[in-house]
Amino acid sequence: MATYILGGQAADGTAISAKYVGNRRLIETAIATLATDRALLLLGLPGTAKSWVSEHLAAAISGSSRRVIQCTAGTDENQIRYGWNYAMLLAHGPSREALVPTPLLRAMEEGTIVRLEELTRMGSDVQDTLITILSEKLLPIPELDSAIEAQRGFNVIATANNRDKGVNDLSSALKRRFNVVVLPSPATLEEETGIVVKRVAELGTSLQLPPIAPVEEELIRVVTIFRELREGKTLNGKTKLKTSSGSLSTAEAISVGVSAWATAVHFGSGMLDAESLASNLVGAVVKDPVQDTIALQEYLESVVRTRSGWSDLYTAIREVI
Amino acid sequence: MAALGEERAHLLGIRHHGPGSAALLCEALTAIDPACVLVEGPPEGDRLIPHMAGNGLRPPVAMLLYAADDPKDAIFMPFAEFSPEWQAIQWALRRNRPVRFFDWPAAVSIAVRKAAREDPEVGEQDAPEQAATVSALDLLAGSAGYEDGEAFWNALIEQHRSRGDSALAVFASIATAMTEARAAEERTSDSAELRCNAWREAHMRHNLRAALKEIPGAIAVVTGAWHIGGLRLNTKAADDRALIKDLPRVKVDATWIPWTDSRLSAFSGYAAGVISPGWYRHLWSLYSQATAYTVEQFASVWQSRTAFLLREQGFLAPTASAIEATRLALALAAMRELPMPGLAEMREASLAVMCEGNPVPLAILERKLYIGEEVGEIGDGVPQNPLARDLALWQKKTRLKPQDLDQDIKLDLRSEAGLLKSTLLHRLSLLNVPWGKLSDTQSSRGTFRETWVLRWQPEYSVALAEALVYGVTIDQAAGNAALQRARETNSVTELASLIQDTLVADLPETATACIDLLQTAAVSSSDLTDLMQSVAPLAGVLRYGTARRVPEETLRSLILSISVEINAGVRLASRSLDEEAATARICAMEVFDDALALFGDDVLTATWRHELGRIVEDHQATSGIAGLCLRRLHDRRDWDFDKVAVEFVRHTNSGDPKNAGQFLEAFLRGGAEVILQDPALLQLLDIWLCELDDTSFTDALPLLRRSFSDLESGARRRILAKLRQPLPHTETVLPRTGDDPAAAAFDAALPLLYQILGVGGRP
Repeated sequence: MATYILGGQAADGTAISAKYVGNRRLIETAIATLATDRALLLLGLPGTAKSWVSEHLAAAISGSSRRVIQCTAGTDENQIRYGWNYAMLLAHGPSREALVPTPLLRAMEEGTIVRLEELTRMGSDVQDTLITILSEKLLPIPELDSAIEAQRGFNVIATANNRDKGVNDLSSALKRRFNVVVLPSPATLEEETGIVVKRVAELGTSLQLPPIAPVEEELIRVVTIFRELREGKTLNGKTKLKTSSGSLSTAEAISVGVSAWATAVHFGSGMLDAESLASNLVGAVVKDPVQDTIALQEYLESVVRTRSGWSDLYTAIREVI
Repeated sequence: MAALGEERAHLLGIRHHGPGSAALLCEALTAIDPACVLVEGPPEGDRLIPHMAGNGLRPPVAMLLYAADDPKDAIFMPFAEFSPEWQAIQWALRRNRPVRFFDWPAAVSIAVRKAAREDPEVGEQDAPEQAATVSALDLLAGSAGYEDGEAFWNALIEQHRSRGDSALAVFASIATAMTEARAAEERTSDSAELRCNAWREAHMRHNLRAALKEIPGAIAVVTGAWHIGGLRLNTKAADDRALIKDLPRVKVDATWIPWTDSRLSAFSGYAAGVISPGWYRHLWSLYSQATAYTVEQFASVWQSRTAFLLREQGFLAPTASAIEATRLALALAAMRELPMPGLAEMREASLAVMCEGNPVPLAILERKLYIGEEVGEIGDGVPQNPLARDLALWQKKTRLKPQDLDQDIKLDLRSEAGLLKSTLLHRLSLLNVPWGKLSDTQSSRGTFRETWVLRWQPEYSVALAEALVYGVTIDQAAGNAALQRARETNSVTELASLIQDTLVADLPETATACIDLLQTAAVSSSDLTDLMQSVAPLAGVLRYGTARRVPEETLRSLILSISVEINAGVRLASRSLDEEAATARICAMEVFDDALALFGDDVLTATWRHELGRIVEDHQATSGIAGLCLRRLHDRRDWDFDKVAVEFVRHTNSGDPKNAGQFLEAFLRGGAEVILQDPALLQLLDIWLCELDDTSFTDALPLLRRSFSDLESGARRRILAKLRQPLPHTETVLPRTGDDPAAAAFDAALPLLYQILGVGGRP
């Protein structure tokens, strides 16, 4: 199963393509969690393949990843537990036939995995509905004076974003019923640059932006800045920096690349250069006008200013902030 | 011909500091019941073995072997209670069997290493044999499908833990496998390493032969698994003797020193170090138990300890989570096809279940749980320590005698002898041995003179022994001690003073390391007052120098980065400070402003001045700070008078007389010259005072009095005199013509003015 996610060779020699590029041990922890009948919570920044991994885990274990609930602020208990067919409820009174099952209830009956996307976006009181289901694998239906017991194989994989604003933190009672695996950002500059360059090219082409050059060198600079500010130190580890309040994920680096591309072809020199990058970069980094400006200024003075070949970027960013 | 001592010598290949290996070894020893035990280690340590039986010695401890004439050339041989060597010696001591070390003498190994260091062809060869041992075992473990050598051993002990005979079988197969692994690796190793190893093993064989001749009956040979192949080599005694006859030798002294868990761990740079002494201790506590235990017990004890420590740190880690973590660890081990969970599985399980995937809590436990906090003890009656010996050498060199009475000495740092003495005393202070106390701060006499008061106290010897963990010579130990302190603190000012201390103690490398740490701390520090204060001493050192070596470039870049930090944050940090914080900040800003002038980086200074200007214009800035900023801008002529006047009026007329008072106090800091020399400014002040209504005036009085009380009485007198004279262009404000009613009003106000200015009576 780990081989299915991470790629490799099947016993009969069939090549299996990699679904996730990253740390093998994390995926093993995730699988072992599900094997011990515990619910799994995948945490991570946007763009770290949480949903992707959960989908593939569900597919690999249950043969299907169809059972999914997209949690939002508007999700209520009826969408988690069960709803009622009100016409039937009024006509015949409470009965199993009048019950409208949710993906969760169906998964319990079938003994498959149910996925909860963006768990923390749902209200805290609604989240807590899950407590009984997770600890006792049982969904009581007081109206019918019965309960639905989960079939063997039922389990929950939830995903959540751990650095977002406006989310509802899990109660500690619920939190401790999950095993948590944090999916990290790409480990190396090369890996991340590879992802960004590929995605920018794909997005730019699908948005039908006019073709442009040079792309790669400039994107390396974007990824470098993002990584350094995210990790709070320079790549060589020599200088420590303030971190910014934004998440500065790979996904954001991609969007900076695409919008800089758009700026360059429509308003700029037609080349992806320092000018077109600067305003988009500042926009992505400065999420909190006070703290982030300080962080960026410090970064500018202590790193960008002294780095060889970066003087154009230094001047361009200085003009923007 | 049979291999060396095949019938009587049992070669037991071990992994240094492996608890699995130690447990298996104990089983094997009991099964063999040897007449004598030989342990890998330099024979100079033999006379230290009896100490191990006493109660005084408590591991972790290390045997320290050092060249008598140069203690810097030293070998450490650390023991933890889970080291197989320690257990083997304990086994023999308990049964009164002879036990001795049989490795090559430290006298030779130190000499060889020294020769290698002096020979640029060969370069440095630090303990190559240990690295080789580990990697070979890991190689073997890898081919058997385990993560590393330790996991491999643990699996073996799991399978064989109950019976002694099978332990022997394990050692036999280890010997075979290692001989093969060695044959494979030997072809790839470089020649210098091989040559050293040949010498070593010739010694080992030589010593083994001697033991065989001397002692009838079985002999257990405890050695790194790597050397078994070498010991089995079929060589002639005469050849071995010829090989080792002409090797260089130095005189070596040996002693026990206390060791710590953190130095036992591989992170401290010790080649045969282990990843987690805490984990190994846990393994050993289970292996050394008489009763059998289950894997579940083993995992749950560790997870509940993790949970307990997490709770102690204030994290939520209930017992239920410890249970789940245990289950996850077992499942992970099963998935990876291990007989029992290793440290990696335990750690990942704790992380996923108890820490919600957040690595920070586990990092906090790192020291307590994974590395451990044990510090060894050495009892009395152990030979003298090398630091004391090094100090004696220094005392001879500097002609300073330890005396139990106060003794004043004056040092001229420009002379070599003076500098040497000062360096020694400064280094001792870093080691917590305040033999000399610096008696004046020499502020008035320049930087080349120091006066010390010396007095030796007996407890300094104890402090010296404690300092042994940092190193075996005064300079090494002082450097490491300072570094340790620097690593433990986050305070910017403390780090800055440590940098100064290490510079005066002539430890430029340590100073450089402290500078790096300060850079790190400066970034995370939010206290600008602290940061500003730290710049001044650094800039002073850079500008005026001391009589010592200074890592100028590093220091310069440090000041630069701290200043950049201050510039970036100073404006926002100047808002809404209470009075106490504002006063501290004002002092710090003055010091920093002066330090910047000394430092002389134009861009930096310009940015700083620009920020000062923005503070003055910032409506939310604390008044006192704005006052200081305006004064500095005025003093340095950065702003022309009109601009200063506009801001001065704005701040004094801000409405709240309390703020105005604070502004004024800060503006007038450090002398009244500014208003004396600048009639226009005085006039502005005058206008403001005159325009205050009664209530505001009464409110402002105490503050005004305070502002002026800082001035010298002479200056106050001169201000008064100035005020009484007609100001050249103030006719409209204060007309002083004959019998004008305003003049009468002014005269009437005079007593009050005297009072405000604190000038008693009419001059």
